[in-house]
Amino acid sequence: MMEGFKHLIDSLTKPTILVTFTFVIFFFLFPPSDWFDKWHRRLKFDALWGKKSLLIITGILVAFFIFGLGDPNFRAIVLKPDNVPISGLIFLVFFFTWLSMNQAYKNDELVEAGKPVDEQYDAPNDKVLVWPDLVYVELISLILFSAFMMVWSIGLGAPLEEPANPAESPNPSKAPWYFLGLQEMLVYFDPWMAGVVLPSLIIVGLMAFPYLDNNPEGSGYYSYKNRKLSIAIFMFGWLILWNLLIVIGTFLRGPNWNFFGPFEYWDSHKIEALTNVNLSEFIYVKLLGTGLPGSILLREIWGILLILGYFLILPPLLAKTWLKDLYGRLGAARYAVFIVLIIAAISLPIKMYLRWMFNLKYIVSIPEYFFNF
Amino acid sequence: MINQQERYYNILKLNKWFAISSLLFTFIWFLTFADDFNRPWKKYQIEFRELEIEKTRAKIEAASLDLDSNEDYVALQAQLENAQDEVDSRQEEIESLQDNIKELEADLYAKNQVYQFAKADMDVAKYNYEQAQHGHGNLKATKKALDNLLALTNSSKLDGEIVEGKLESANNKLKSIRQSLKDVNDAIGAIVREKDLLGRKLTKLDPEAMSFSNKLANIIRDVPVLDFIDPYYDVKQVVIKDIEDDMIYMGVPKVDRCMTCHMGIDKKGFEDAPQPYTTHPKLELYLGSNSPHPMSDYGCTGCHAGRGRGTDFISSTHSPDNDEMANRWEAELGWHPLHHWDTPMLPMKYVEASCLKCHANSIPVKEAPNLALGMSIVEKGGCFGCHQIDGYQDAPKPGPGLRKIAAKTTKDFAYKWIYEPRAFRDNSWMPHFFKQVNNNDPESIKRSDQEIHTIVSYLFNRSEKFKMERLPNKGNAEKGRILVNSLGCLGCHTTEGEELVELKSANSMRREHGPTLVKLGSKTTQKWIYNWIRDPQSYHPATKMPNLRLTNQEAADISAYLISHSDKKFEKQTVPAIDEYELNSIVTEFLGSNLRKEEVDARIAGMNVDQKLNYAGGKLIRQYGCFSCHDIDGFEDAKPIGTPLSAESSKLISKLDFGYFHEELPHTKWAWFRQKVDNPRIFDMIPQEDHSYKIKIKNPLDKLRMPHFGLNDQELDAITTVIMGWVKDEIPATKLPPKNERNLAIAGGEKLIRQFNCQGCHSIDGDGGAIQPTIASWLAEIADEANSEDRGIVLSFAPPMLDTEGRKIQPDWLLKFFKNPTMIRPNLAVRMPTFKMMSDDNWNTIIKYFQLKDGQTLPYENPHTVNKRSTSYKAGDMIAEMGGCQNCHFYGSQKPKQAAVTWGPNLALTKERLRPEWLIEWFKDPQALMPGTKMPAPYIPSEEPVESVRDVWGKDVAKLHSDPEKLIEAIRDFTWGVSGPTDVSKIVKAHLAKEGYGFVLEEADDWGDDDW
Repeated sequence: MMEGFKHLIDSLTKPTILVTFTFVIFFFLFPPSDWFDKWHRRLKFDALWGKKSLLIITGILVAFFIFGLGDPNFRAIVLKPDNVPISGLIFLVFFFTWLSMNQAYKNDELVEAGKPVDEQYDAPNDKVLVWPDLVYVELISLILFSAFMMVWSIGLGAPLEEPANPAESPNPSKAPWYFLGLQEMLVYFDPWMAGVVLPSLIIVGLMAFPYLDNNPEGSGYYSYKNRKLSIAIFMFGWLILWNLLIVIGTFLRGPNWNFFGPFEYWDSHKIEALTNVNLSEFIYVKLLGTGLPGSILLREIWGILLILGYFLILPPLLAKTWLKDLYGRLGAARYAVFIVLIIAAISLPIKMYLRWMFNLKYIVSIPEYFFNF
Repeated sequence: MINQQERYYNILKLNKWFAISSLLFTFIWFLTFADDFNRPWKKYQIEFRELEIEKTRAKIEAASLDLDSNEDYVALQAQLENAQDEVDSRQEEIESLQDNIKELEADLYAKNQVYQFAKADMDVAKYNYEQAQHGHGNLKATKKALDNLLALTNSSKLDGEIVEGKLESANNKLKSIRQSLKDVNDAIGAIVREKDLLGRKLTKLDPEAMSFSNKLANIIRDVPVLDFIDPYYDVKQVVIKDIEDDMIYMGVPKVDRCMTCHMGIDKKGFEDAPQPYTTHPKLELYLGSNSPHPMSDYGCTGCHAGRGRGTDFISSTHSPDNDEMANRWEAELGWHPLHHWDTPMLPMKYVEASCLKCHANSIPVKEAPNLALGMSIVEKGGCFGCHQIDGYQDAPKPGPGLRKIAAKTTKDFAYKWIYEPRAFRDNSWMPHFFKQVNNNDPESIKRSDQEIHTIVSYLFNRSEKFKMERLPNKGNAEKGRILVNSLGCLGCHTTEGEELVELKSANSMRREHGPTLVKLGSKTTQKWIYNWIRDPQSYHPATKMPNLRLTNQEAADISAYLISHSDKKFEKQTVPAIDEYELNSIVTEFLGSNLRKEEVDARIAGMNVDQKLNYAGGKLIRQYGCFSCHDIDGFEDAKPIGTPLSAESSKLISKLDFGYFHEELPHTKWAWFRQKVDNPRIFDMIPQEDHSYKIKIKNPLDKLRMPHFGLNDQELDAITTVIMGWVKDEIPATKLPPKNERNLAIAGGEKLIRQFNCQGCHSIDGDGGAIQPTIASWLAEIADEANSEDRGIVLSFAPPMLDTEGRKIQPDWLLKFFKNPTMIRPNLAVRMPTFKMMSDDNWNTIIKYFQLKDGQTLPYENPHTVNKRSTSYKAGDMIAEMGGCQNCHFYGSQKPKQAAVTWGPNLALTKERLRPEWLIEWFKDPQALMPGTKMPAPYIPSEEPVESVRDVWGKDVAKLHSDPEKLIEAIRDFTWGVSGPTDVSKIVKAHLAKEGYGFVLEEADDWGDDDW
């Protein structure tokens, strides 16, 4: 029974299933449009942000961890001093997401009822005093946090390992926890893309936020109703593409970066079949039954066309159809920046599925010039 | 009330939060100090302090008891009283003297001060006068001032000296009054010195013995927080600058803190204390400041390995000897292995591994018996054949040469032997390649059957002709047996029916230098044995077997004896037939590695069975590395097939493939090495819950192929010790034995001595002479038990010990002897063999080894000459006669007077063989040079009155009699002058044939006793 449950969890956490599940359910949890919102409420997902669910979900999480700690494999990974903060992260991210959503829903209701929102503060001139309202609270937080850090450092020794050795890299070799999302992308993209281009785009995107979001409603307090699309998109990037990948990278990626369920033994000899092919091979060898053409351009033309289509044809097409309203609201320039960032971000899940379903390595692969996409 | 309107938060609530958080913080702050203060090693230091106090008190008590029973001390106490009384009676005089001294001291002080001031002023005046002479100032006035001050300085100095004189005489007077008291006190002080020292030590250790202020300080110095200044309990460490821990990118000087808990480790007197306080068991060798490895220079982890910086049981990476110990540690100390330290502490049973780091050239056999045994196993098992190991580059192959195998044995025997060598000879060093854990399934056995056929076929097809001589007659097996037991064969071989030692040692391994001589009847022919023992090199030029210069009859007798044992059961076993289908699949596999199937089929179709056998045989000999141990035609330049082992134990543990044995084996290098040697193929297997195995899916040629040596637990521990010693640690030159001429010569000599097993027969510096027990059993057989149990007799029939060989023997004679051994000790039945395979270079190395070991650096020396008309010679002649030297020694061809059992070397050999200086040493005390020798120290009449010496010993002895040295030189000069033929072997042979040894037999004595 217990073993059965562990096996179930192990198979549910397989990336294909876990990621698909979160992709599917995500926009019903954080509806980006009225249609999703309708289903969101019909499926009673809005109850998630109520007080009762905080207790229930925290309870479930705690129970899962307690149950899991009985398992030696789970314990070895979760109690590794390096990984303890990530366990904390699961709880904290959930709690703060809940807190903000709870507040946002409350405010939405208040606004609907014509009442002022919770964060409304008028006295005098809409300002608070540095002392005591800011500095005092900061001081108290500082003391409490220092105390917490001291207890932590006494209780959990520094996670020191053997001296670094170029002849012996640790297996798995992991990035610092906050970069594990990027490291996960390395599985699907060329290092140049995953390590340079996409991270740069993330930073550019974060810088572009204030300029893209010209919606004045719901500013200065938590709210959801007025900013559905913005919040849904942000949450997708933050919770799924960043935090979920960190959790996967920490707990579910084992030796040789192979995937292991939370109750699985990290066997460094586990073998996964990894024979991937490029799009060009698909088209020429599989579909057309001929060899690869000698010319790079001819060989990669399909991939190049596909990429160009994705970035040049898809945006105007969307502007004309699904995103007509948005296009109207943002204007051509804002829309252009916005849509490029969005489809660049979406290229990650697309690439993941292409890999899982077709063993696709690269869409455009020009190793001669170190360019792969 | 505060006006709350302008505040976003409730200030009173915040104050409460602040108060609570501050209290919490303070509490945790204290927790931090407590955590910092509470170190695991402290409790050991506290306990050790108590132990030390206890020991010191006990010692003081014992010392006072000693004093009470010390007569000198009691007498001195009485004297002390008397002296005190005397001093007391002169009290008045003393007091007046003391007053006088006080006054004089005050006066001296005043006088001295006047002088000091005057002198300072005079220096100023001198400077001023010099300036005036240079034209700056009044010449006259400055001159006058200088003169005045000079006078004052001189007079005040004189005044002071007068007072000083008076003071000195007063002091002397006082001293003389007190002198007797002081003398007694000094005498007492000398006796009680040790007790005083102990007492002083106790006042530093024991709070109860401390003064109040020290008691207080004793508490304060270890109070939390204040204990950073000068605590009693602190981390002790040694820093060794030139031994470094390898931190990959840099070397970090070794810091060993082991003595933080192991506080008694370098102190005598804690031998019986519990761990961790026990004294090091070999303080004279390690840690002691006068030992070769003082703690301050070598630390602890240099030898024991482990994390020297660790200050608790776990972080210092203690390693248990076995599971039982591990379980106990886990239960009692919460022990677990420290995963992140590459060089955990060596378990005690492997600790000798570290000796190898610095002493690889000259293994300290006595100090590291386990390691020495391991090194013998490496040599016997021939590990270096398949594995490249530093220091064995030009070691000879350990197995017999197989180039003429067809002359020696049959295909059937070779087949059965290769299949399972230990089934024929249970202590064989030839390892098992077949019927191993990864190839004993029916399919593999079918394959093995054919593999062996191919190997045998290859060897026999290539076998060269061996020209054998016919035996003169059938030989006498019983005579042969006696010969084998007496000639010295047993220095290297064991024989049929011999009980082997239970606990092996490097010395017992020497008798396994050659194969056990059993069941030869099932293996070879008498003709072959006859030819082999007469001239081993004619069969195998590189053999280590020397030539015993056997006569044809001796060889015939010995061969008759050796051939007489056989193993009928073994002979009856049948050899499976050649299975061409299986053979084809073996050939296909080799051909298929670089040919396409079509080509392979074509090739096979063109081969007959013999060609297939030979082709596959050659390939399989390469696959299994048979050529590593045996000289085989066609494999002259083949490279070793195993992994190099020179730095094996510095490999990262992650490079050792534990396969499916992660849970069955402790995750340590030694556990892996031990398992690998114990059952080399095990890592091809998948363990099952019922302790059976399933095999990994592998092609036959990809399977692990290291063979199985069938070692016992003791041997496995020994070999693991050696492997653990193969490290790549950089040892600074300061820590290595110096590479001087002597050490190099010793290393070179020891290597050859090991290689040719000299110590199988000879004992050198207390090690070797493995043959001796067999000499005793031979004596029991030809004489009786009384003789065989008499160590002196056994030693006199054993090959001689070579303890002072370098000082003893003239090097040029020694070379001559090595090249052509001749009789020295006429009673010996064992023969020094002729080692034809050894070059002059080899012999020189050995001679140099003996010489330099004994500090003898000159190869050429001025020959000693003797004038037969000199007093010295004549005196020597007399002493020799009186001493009865001729009872045991040949004088040229003149036979000794006593029976052959007592015979000693021919004295006519002395002049060419021995060094004159050594003879002096020898005559003074033969037992010191050769413990157990039957040679008595010659009696010299140096203590007798000169008249009686003149009467009894003659005038020449009388002339020299006052100087024992001269008398001994006289004996030396006499022996030097003994002339005559040096080779008495024919006389001896004739005598022994006629009269035998003339042992004194127990029965004769018994008979006498009964009669009485």
